[in-house]
Amino acid sequence: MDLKIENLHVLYNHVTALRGISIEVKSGDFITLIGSNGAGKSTTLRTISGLVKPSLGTVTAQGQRIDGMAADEILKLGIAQVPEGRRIFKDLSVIENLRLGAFTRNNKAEVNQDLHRVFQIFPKLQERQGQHARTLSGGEQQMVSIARALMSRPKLLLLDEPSLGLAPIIIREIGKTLIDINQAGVTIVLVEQNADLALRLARYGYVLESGKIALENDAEHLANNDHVKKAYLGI
Amino acid sequence: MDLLVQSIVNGFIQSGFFALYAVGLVLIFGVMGVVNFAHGELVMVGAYTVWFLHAQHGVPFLWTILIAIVIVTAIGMAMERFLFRPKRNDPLGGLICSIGVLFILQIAATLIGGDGPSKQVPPPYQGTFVLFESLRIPVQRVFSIAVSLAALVALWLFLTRSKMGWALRAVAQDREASSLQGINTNRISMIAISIGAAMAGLAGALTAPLTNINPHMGHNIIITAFIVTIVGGVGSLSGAVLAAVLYALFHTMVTTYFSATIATISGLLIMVLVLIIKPTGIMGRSVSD
Repeated sequence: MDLKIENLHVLYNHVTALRGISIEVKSGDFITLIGSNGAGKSTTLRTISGLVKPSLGTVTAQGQRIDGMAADEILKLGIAQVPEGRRIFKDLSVIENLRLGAFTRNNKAEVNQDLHRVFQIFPKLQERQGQHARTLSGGEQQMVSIARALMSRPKLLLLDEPSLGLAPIIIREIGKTLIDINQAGVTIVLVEQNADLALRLARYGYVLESGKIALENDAEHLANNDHVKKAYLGI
Repeated sequence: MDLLVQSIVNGFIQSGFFALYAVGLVLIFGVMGVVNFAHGELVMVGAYTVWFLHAQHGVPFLWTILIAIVIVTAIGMAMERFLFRPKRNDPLGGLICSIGVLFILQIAATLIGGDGPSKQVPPPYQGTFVLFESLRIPVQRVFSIAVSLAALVALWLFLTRSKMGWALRAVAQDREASSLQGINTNRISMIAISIGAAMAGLAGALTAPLTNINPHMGHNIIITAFIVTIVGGVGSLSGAVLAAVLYALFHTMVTTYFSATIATISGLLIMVLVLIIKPTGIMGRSVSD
């Protein structure tokens, strides 16, 4: 799905969180937004998914203006978000969480097929499908969050800090999964504080600083940029 | 001994009402974040409907139960649309609005029924089941507990077996994450208050032939609902039902052996103790997780 963000300004709790951001994503692309805490990465994602309304600027998906639309309407266009902190429904079972990801879909056969598919991607979730989501480990909960988003059959997947609080081995596993999902044709926008991981996964990257885009380039080039190395990669 | 058995049975019958009051309050609070102070008055309107239509105008009892549910549900839906939705991000505002509704409904009841002595509805179902010599249960009470139980089972099936029920539980847990799944949270709020109000209307209609009906009867009901909700664990439906059974047994016992006033005061004391010692109640989870 093509996504175009133009001159986006967002006020968040009366504080300016974004000051004129423009981003363009082509269908099938994998881009990342990196930056430190409070740079505006999450706000950008939350504005795309409709949780936050911009004060100025536009968000366009497949040529259609989506800023100002409600979050549940935006999901129906094929834009799913894996929110920061996973935000799974902890008192519901794993299978109920996944089926709620497909809430707007009515074709039962297709939903069951997709359920089968996400269980192939995350076999552990199949083993634990009847368990309350709160009983899962952090990594498994992140898998539920990603799988739940996939259950809506998104064309564009927004991920907010999926690596947060996870062990390196789980992060590698989730990274591989994201590449698989992207190769299956899903456009991905990944927000990460773990810049090293993000720049290895994505094709193109934006560096956000104080609500503005400080730098943008192919991920490889960004990874070799002196400023990025010093500020975000700790080299 | 006979008195003990009889009051245990009475307590179980009472628990059906307590559970109906409390699940509505819990659903509305859980999904919409609003403490509905007018919940007792919704029950009162249900009871008034039966008094007015059945006792005064001879409409068949079963019909008046349905009409009571429809009227109270409509009031609940109007509260959501015109008060709670505009005040969604202002829980205190919603609470104050609900107190306003409380007074409006009390005054409406006074206008319709006058402020004279409490009204009585003659039990439509006469007769008594005699289980053994000293244990007698009026048919009217058996009917009310059976219908209450059926309503609670139907609610449980809806919440655990249907996609809408899952969505409702999801919105209660995380409104924002629910909207990210394509769930229209305003619609779910409307469903939640409809169910909560329908349960209140049903409870009011069922209780009408068993109680004194007056414009202020909602007062004791909301106190009961608060005690049950807090002891059960705010936000926990199964906790509310369990607490309803326990508190109804307790309340009936104390009423039988002492007085209703002492029973209610003790109930409030238990509520305060739960708030101090285990604020999450018997089934609740801490808010932080």
